[in-house]
Amino acid sequence: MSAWQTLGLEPTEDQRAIKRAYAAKLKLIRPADDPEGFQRLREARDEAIFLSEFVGEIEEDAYEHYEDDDQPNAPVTADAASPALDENSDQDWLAAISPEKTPSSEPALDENDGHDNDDEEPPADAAGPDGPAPLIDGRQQPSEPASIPPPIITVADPDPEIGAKGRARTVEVTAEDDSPAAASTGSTLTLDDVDSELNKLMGPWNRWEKQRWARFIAEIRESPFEISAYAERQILYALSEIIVPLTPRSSEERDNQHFILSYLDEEFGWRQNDRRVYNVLSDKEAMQLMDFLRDRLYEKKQRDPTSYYDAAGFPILMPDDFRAYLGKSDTIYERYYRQCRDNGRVFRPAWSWVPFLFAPLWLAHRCNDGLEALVGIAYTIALVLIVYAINNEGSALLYVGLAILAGLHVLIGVYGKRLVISTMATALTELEMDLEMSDEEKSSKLKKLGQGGSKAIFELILGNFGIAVILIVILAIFTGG
Amino acid sequence: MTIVGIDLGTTNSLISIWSEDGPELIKNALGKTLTPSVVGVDEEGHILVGEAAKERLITHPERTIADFKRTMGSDKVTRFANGYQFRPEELSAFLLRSLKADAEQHLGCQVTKAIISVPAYFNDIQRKATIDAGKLAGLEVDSLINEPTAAALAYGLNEVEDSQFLIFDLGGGTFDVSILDKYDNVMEVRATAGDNFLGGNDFRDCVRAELARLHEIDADTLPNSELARLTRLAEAIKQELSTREEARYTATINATEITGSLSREQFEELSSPLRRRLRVPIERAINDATLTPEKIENVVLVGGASRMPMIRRMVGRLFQKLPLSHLNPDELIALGAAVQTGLKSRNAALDDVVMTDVCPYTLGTSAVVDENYENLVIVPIIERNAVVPISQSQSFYTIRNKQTRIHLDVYQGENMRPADNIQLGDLTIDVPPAPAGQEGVDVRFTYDINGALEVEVTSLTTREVVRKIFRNQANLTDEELEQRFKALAEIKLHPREQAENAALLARAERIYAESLRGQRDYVRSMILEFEAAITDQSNRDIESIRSAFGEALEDLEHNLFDMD
Repeated sequence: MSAWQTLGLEPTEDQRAIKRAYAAKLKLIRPADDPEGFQRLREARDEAIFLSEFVGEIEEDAYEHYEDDDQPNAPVTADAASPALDENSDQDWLAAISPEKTPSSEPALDENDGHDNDDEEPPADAAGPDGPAPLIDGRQQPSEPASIPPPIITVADPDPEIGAKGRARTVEVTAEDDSPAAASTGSTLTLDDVDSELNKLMGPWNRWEKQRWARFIAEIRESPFEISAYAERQILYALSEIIVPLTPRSSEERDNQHFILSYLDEEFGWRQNDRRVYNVLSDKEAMQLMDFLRDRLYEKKQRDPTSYYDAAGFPILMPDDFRAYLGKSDTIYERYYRQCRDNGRVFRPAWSWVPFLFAPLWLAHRCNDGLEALVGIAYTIALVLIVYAINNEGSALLYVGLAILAGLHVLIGVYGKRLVISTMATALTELEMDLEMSDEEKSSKLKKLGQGGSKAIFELILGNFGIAVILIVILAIFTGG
Repeated sequence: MTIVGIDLGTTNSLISIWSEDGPELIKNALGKTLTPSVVGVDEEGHILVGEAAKERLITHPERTIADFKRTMGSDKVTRFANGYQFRPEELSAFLLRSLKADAEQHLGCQVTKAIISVPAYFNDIQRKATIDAGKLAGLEVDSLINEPTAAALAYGLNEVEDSQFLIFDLGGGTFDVSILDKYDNVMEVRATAGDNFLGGNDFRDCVRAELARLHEIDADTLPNSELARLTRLAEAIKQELSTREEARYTATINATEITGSLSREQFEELSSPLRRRLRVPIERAINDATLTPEKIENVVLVGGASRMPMIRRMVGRLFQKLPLSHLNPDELIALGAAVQTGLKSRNAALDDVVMTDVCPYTLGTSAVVDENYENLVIVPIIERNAVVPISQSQSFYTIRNKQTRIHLDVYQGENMRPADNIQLGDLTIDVPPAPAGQEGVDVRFTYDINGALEVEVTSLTTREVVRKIFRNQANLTDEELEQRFKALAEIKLHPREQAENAALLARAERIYAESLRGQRDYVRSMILEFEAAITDQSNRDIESIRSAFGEALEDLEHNLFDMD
């Protein structure tokens, strides 16, 4: 059944008609009684509205009129907003819900008017004198009652809005200084202002002007939507291009950067809703920026909750890592290694000692299973050939032994590590699935397992390192002798 | 069968019904429609609710609690001086019980069913806590209604023209924004967003912090009763600044007299960070509704805190449009809840109106989606602002050879990384071992109009089904609920017929606590006289004594607090 059939319509570009048909059907269905039918109808409506764009040329149909009605409301000039309120034919709606416009016919909803006497004051008084402010006395005695003026509730609200609203009733709204539209045109930024100010702020990279940023952001956040959205976009572009790779050089700079970034984050709510960022930037840039915000601003508080750290701040592998990375255990190792590095733990003796021997291993890490084996074999052959080239008088047995050693080296490096990790992964998954164990027990076992894993990997690298040393010694003997 | 509508607010609560003449608010024992959301325990172990409890915030801070809606859905336990311990839903239950008694008195029959309004941005856990509160009060919660949706119903019914409008609901403790489209008697919520921890009380606390700063008061070390007094003063100043440019105040806090004045400009400056926070949900709602700000024809202000002029000005400035407001923004939600009860019971007058609402949060599960299986991310199944009820499904496959289990975490929230969202729960299903990617599950999320989520996981090959309705650990279990219901039933509310006396006495005692010397003696003699009058059974003229007492208190208070 096509969307059009569900709605009982011929294909049309009239979106208003689609909505009308939907409304008519909806009344027969009653969403609470027939959720599936309702969902089908709704999907048909959405599809029909989508299809309607292609049914005919875009033209002046009913829906367009519907939209055009809003045009006078375009938020550009001060006097645009007010006529809209009066010209719209929804006077009844206005009358029904904003009694201050028609005080004579108060709606039935109104029962308690204690707070709004002021609203009904004639607008002429809007700019009237404030009168002395009454004293709010939380004190014991009514101190000198005579000197306290009685509360003048009937004084017109000095708030410009109400004044403006009062005038709206008499259909003679003009662009008063007080009206919200005027207020915004008078004081807020324009798009050009945003650009030029942003250029100035972004200019001197070695100096981050905290106060100026704060002022700028505050101003943006008080501006109309389009300005604010534009500025947010521009700031995001700028941040993704320049700030992320930038590392502050002094503690003062770091403080400033921290201040500005957290201010931005708080005002725009990026971390709270990162789609704001993903909508503007490409996925990669956005991810980079969000990581940067998370890491730089909240590194202490918001550590990745799926990783646990031992007393020395050394990462221990935890089940979520496995759940996330079950497909490829190598990446765990990569991440683990990166964490060591990020934590300032130098944990790569092999790399720093004889990098050339371990280069193939590193290469193998980057490759898939088949390639790994190829690289291992190539490495073994290369090693044997090197020894042969240096000294071709050795016995065949020596070369066979050497080849076995080199092969072991590769195997331990690549598959041994995998074995450790996958064994751990299985143990962790089983532990995790054990429904009878209490959470405390689980977490202590997990911790032990994690520490065991760290240790196993450490031993593995040591063992591998040992074999590397033997190979070096053999090479040294042959080259030396 | 009568269904009542209840607005369970942070500061005030209301109860309403759909009558022949449309929505109608029910007055409490004191003849007011607004019952303060304050609960306390009196000396006899009876629970005091409403006005009387509110007065006792200052005189008995260790036996009274307000603002508990903010902790709904958490485990925070309130301990009263007499040893009672209550969870937020239990405190709400007392409030509901008192409202229910008001309605029963008014209708002359049992009330067992209710529609309760909740902030649109309440999450699953908070919604369930609200339903539990209803159960604990002996009310079957027929459904929950989002507060801005309720307000829109109350407004929209009177509207003749079709239009798109935005409801800006700034209550005592929560902030919600909803965008609605009304056409052909269909009220369609297009998008909802909000902030559960932003409301009038934050603006009040802003004033309080400023008072503390100006007068060098350390609010952290202040005793509870003094803090309550400072809060009350801040609230008074805040309200005063809604109608005047400047508020002068004098009060005694911690035995030192503080005097000064705060201008509206200062207040607005102080609260500008709060005001800016209001923008984020508005922007999100507009984006989600795929609209632009100028397409919104009307902005309707709801909630007591929207009375602040700066809020109106800000909204006017953002939308370049004059916002509309109702005489009593506090009452709209309750009125809308009543309309909803009318819709529910298929009232003839409302037969033609259909209301559709949305789910404000994205619901999804976590999975790896990149080819290297490196990043665990949220895969949304029901996108936020999807019209409810809705049922959506998606398939997921194994990523490891011989994988025998698939584990699904269910999340609510908008962030890409699972850890940044709220985890609602998880479930596990067994699959037969096979090469990676050959086994899989079909995951179906069904979200009903009350905000209950059911997840159904079906194995693609064995057709085995695992189903789970999410009930978070922060909520009570059914047994606990049963148990607490019995326990709460033992605890008596303060008798309703004495509510008026209790409120007057509590108020008098507060005035007594706030006054000194001569006035104290006067208040004390009044209290004793009134107490004697109400215990004297033979006295037939209690009504007139009571009103005289009330007026006397009113006079006293007017000398103290000008804004009352």
